[in-house]
Amino acid sequence: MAAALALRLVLAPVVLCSSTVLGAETASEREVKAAMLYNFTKFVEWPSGALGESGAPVTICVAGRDPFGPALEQAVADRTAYGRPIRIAKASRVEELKGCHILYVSISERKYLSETLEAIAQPGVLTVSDIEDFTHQGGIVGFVLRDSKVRFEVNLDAAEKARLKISARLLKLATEIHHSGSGGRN
Amino acid sequence: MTATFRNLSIRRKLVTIAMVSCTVALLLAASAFTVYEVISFRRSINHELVTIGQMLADNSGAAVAFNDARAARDTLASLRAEPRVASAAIYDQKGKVFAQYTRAEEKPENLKAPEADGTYFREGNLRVYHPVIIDGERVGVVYLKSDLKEINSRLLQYSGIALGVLAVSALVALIVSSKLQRVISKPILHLAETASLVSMEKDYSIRAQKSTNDELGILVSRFNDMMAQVQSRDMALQTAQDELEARVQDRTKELQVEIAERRRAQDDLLQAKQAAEESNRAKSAFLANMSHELRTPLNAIIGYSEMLQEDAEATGEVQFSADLRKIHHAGRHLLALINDVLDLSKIEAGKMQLHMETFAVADVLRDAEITTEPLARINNNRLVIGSDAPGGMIHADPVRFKQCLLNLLSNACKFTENGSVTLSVSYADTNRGRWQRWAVADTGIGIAPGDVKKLFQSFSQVDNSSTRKYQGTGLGLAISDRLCRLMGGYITVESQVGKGSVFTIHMPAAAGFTASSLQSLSSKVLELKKPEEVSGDSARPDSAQQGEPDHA
Repeated sequence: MAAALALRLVLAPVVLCSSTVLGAETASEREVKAAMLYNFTKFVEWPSGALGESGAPVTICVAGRDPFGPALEQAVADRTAYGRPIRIAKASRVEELKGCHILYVSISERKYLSETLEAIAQPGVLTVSDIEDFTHQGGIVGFVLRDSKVRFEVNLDAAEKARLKISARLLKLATEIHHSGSGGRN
Repeated sequence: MTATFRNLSIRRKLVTIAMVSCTVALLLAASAFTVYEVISFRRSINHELVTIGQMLADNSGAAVAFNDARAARDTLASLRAEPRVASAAIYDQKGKVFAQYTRAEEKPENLKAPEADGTYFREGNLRVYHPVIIDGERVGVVYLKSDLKEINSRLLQYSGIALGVLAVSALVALIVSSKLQRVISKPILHLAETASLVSMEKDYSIRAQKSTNDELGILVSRFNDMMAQVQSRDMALQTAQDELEARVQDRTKELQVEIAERRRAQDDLLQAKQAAEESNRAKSAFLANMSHELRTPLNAIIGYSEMLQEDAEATGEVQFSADLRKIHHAGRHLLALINDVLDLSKIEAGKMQLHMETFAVADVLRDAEITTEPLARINNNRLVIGSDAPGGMIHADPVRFKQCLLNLLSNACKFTENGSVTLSVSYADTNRGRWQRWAVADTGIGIAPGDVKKLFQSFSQVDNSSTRKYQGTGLGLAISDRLCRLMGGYITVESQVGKGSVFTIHMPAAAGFTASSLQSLSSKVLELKKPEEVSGDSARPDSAQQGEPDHA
């Protein structure tokens, strides 16, 4: 466990570096993604009871290294979802996060993805990530770049497993949808 | 326009009215229809655009939220099925154009910042701004524009249809009204023709034919009634004129006859007048001759009988003296009679000539006293002579006036015995001026009222017996009366039987006379009025009963 942590710490600069080089993670891209995280709340329906009692905040969690900086806070400032306030929770480890409704898994958690997903294998959490093939590995929404624009893929099976209903209008925007039976479409 | 219309014939007017009415009605209907159509079209397109905008906003909400311009364009591209939408756009939250759509053949619009939500009709375009709201949050605006081309083309279409309908219906109205106008225009035209025929031919027996029972029928009936009245009046007038002409002719003939008769009568009168004048001249000549012829032998008889009487008295042959005196008296009486007759004749023939003078009253009184004194003494009468104004003057013919006065005095003396005869001169002022009154009063036998009228008639004494008893020609008063009147005066009588009489000569007072009035009086007297006129003038001032028989 300690070795895994140590590795992660060692690799972190490399990942950052590669991400910067390969993914062209610009400031505007961060803002777009932050806005998207918030916007997902409008097209996703959580199972009853998952949002807690009325007035309880909708929580957006960031696990691992935070790539947004202040962009996420700015994106949700003075905004609500389902008439509830929005709370942001950030932690380097997923285990430290409780009551997440949207969980952004940082690219820094790529190596520990399966453990992370397992750790939060409970209904009512929309998982989002920049990690490649995130949706193939059990994640629900994965950011992708198409023509230097931020788009996303959706794993409908995972969403169903998490008992989340994703709006057709959102699905229409998805570059790829994974679904058992259809096997996915583009 | 109105003047031209007013001068149109009835037919054209009716047709024009029908067509104008039809056209106006159709135009109004078409306009109303078009306006309604435009309004409802606008409403429907407005509603449609709003609906489309709503749908687009719903469909593009996610794309805007996730900044997916392509998805938004795809959504807008669905507008290809809506040809009414000329262009469309989606603005993001900040008002920047996020996605744009333009109809195939249109140029892309230069878009500006979005306006407030709502619909705008402007510059022939309908614009709709509709908000994109997700979960109560406004994330963008959908913009739609319709250029109303359709409504314009539809309007054009309507106009074409309306024009077509208008043309067709005008044509139909023309045909129908051309046929129908005859119902109204035919009787009127017939009436007008009849009226012109009547006025041209002056034939009032012409009648218009009544073909309908409406107001025009009434008009025709009234026209015919009027014509009947005119005709009857015309005939009456003609008859009256004929009658008048006939009457005028008759009257003319009558007048001609009358004129001829009058002319004859006039000729007769003229002849009669000439004959009368002739005979008058003959009479005057006869009188003048007679005056001379009668007096000459009579003077011889009187003269010789006087001489014989003187001789007989001288020789003492008294038995002849009395007879000769009788002859002498008879001769003198005859001479007086002849003189009276001649005087009267002269007066009545208008030949009496007067010589008017102004002389003293006193002279007249003195002469009268001298002459009357012996006469008064015969019947033992007392003669009294007096005057109010002894210095007065009288204007008259002295000889003739004295004759008149003496006549009255001698009458008074003759019909009074043992009484008195009074001559007095006085003056009286009347409304006809100042008069001089010569009153001869006696205390004699008097005259009965019934006899007064006869007094001044020629050859009249009160009764025949008196003539014998008192003698006289019976002409004295008649002559005096006429002479006084010729001199401007007149004689009145007051008498009571048994008490006496008063004969008064009234003469205009000479003292008040001016030269001109004297002259006018003279000329008036010298006119020598006809005796009839003079005697016929019985109306005299102070006229009292006339009486007392004539005393020659």
